[in-house]
Amino acid sequence: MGKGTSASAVHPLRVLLKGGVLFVVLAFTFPVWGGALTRLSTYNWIVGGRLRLPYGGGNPDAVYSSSMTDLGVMLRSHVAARGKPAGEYRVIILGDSTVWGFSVPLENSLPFLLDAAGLTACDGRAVRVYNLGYPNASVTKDLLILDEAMQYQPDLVLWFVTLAAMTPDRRFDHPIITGNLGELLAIQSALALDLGIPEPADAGGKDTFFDRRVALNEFVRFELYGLMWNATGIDRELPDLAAVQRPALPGYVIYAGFLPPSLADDALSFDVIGAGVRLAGGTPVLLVNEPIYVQPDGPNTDIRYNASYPRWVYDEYRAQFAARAEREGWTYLDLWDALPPAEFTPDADLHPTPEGEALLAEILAPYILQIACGGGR
Amino acid sequence: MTLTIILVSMAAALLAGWLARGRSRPLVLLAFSALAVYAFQPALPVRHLDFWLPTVTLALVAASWALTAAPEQRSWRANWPAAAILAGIVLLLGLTRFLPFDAFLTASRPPQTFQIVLAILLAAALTGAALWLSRRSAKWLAAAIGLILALFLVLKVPELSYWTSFFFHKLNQQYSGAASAADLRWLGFSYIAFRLIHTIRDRQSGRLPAVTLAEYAAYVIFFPSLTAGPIDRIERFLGDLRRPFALSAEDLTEAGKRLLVGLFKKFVIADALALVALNGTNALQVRTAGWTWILLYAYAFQIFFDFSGYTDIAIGLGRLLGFKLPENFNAPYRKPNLTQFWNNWHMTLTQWFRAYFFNPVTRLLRSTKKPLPIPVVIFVTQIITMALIGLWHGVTANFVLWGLWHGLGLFVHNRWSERTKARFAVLPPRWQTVLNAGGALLTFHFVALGWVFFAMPDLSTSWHVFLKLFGFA
Repeated sequence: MGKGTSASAVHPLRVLLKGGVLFVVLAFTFPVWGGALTRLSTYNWIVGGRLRLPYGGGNPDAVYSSSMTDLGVMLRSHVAARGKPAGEYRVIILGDSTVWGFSVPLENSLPFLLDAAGLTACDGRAVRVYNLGYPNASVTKDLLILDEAMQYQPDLVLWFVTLAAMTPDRRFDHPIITGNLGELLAIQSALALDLGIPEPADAGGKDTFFDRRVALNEFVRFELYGLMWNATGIDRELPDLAAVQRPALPGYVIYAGFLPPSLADDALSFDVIGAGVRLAGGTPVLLVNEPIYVQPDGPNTDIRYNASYPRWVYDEYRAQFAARAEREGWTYLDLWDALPPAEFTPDADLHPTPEGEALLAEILAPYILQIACGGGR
Repeated sequence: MTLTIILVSMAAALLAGWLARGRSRPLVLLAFSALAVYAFQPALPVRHLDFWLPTVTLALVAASWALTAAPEQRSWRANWPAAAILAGIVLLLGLTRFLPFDAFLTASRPPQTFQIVLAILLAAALTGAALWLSRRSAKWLAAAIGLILALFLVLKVPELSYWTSFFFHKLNQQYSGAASAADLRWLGFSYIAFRLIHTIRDRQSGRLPAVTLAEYAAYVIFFPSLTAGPIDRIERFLGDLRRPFALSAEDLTEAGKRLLVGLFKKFVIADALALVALNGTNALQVRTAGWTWILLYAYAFQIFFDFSGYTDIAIGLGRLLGFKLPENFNAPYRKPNLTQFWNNWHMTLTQWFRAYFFNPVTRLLRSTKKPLPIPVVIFVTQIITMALIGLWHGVTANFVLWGLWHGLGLFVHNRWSERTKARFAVLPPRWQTVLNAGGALLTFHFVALGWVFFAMPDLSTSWHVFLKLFGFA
């Protein structure tokens, strides 16, 4: 292009320089505006909210969901993040894959069934039940979810707990926990507790555009998955249970490093449960010991209830839980043997079948109504 | 193509553009493009096939040039540098098998050197034979087109692809039970085939300009447009190739703009839409008619942004090398009728089919002793042309139906336009605008419904989607 033509007015170096400066400014000011970006959510606004927290497990593009650690993004995608109507009695259920509904279709999961039961509190408010369970078992992970969920004004917290959620190896070992150690430290500080939380590895603050690019990409994908979730109602590929064989019971009785005959008083994470009850403040918390599969007969049934739990440690756990609940004034419901063995799926010792979920919903409904009608805390 | 390959291509284009400024311009472009033929080829499960397919591409190009070259361009003196570059690149890439690290320009470690030398000798013999045959009879040009079409069928008919892969597995002493129709992914062959047939047909009709091997090969395997077009014409390409080139501010600005727009279209818009676009899985999962329409719209825009994004990237890369590649898309979804849609969607493909199939067949049907009525000629040519375009995407019932859908639509529009254009021409401008807007909306939906055949794996799923779209499923 010769001199004097219109195109010669364009100076590529200037364009590159201006573009570069703009990029650098945006990248370095990202910590200021980046957080606000991920607080925008299309859920409950452009598309409907999810009925349970996003959990990947498999190909995200096939299940229209993905595992993430940003609890704010996770909760904002949930239907619980909608404004609470005046006539609603809001129940949230915390827990592990049993609550989340890992082995059953969404419409057969316990929170869905309780919500569909159409319960009405004594004051006429409609009982709406929200699934805030999330695999895998860890009461510390539940504590973090509860902390985030309290802004959505629950009237009752149902907290499903099992022994596996309270052992030292599960105390801080969960992606939700490792991704939110700062939030956990804030809870500890607010409640003036010492939960023994490890210092976050990236305490120096990694909040630049480059540090957050993968998380941002995940966030955008997750927002787009919202369309597909609404279009299909699918957020999970169900395991093929027909091909699953229940494992034989092992012959050992060691559990998570614990040896018989007894469990120390401070071996399990009851302090985290106590923190959760305090965090809930005036909101009643119903602690539920989840039903477990009890193998009726066969080798090693004399020393174990199932492939997960040796008898001695599980009995100790139940005894400690009951005693601690009594001492602390917690509302505690022990449903460990509430379901017959036939009502568990073979992929885990804690996952009820659809019929088992329905039975569990029938058992729990009166307790919810009792609390909703002011009958206990 | 991945973002990494595109970024490397951009760097390569800048380097090639800088190097290819003098008389060596065709040779430099040929060298870069020949390397790209190997670099772009994805890994294949049949051992060494991802090396042999690019090698066959180069052999086909050389042989095709030999068949079509004008006598004055056939001298060894004029063409030995290009032949040496082609053979040298194959040999050099083959020698990378001795490097202590994994192959970086080939999809997998190249085959043994003696096999490569043998292949080069075979390709040289084939080219020599083509030179000799081209002097004796023009029938060999038709045979070459037949060979290209046969290769095309092997790649596009799933059964033929499967059995070819099965044969290669056996030949390589690999487990033949693992053979699959998807094993024969010959990157860029579709577009290479179009360019080869274009030059052979133009040679038959005496329109092909005189070109050296370097110019011919640089045209056929020009790396910016190797994988997704556009399908340039050789006489236009030569104009840019033979023009002295020095990268100007205007070239750089235009190239940068097209590359940025293309990258944004492909990797931001199209890839985001892909997450929500209709596909064979979600078509069976979607719950309501409304959502099915949304997924279909997402597909319609995803395929547009994906393809036109690649075209922008190709045009941008071409511009860095001093080529103004032809446009492939011109706001096709805003056109008021199907004829205009096809004049603005994948334009170089439709122009190719118009030049080498539609027009000759129309002339043939019109020049018979007892010419067919015009509507019948239009019906037959449009239906067959669009069915062939469908088959080019894959030899399946769905692609044929997609082609027939458009062929029928084009015929109906043609007849409608014949009857109404006089009446519509006298309408006031405001009414013309309303009609055009309504036409664009209708055309978009016709095209979008056609995409159902394109996006679905089989007829029953397509039918299911149609039922769902209209609330019957």
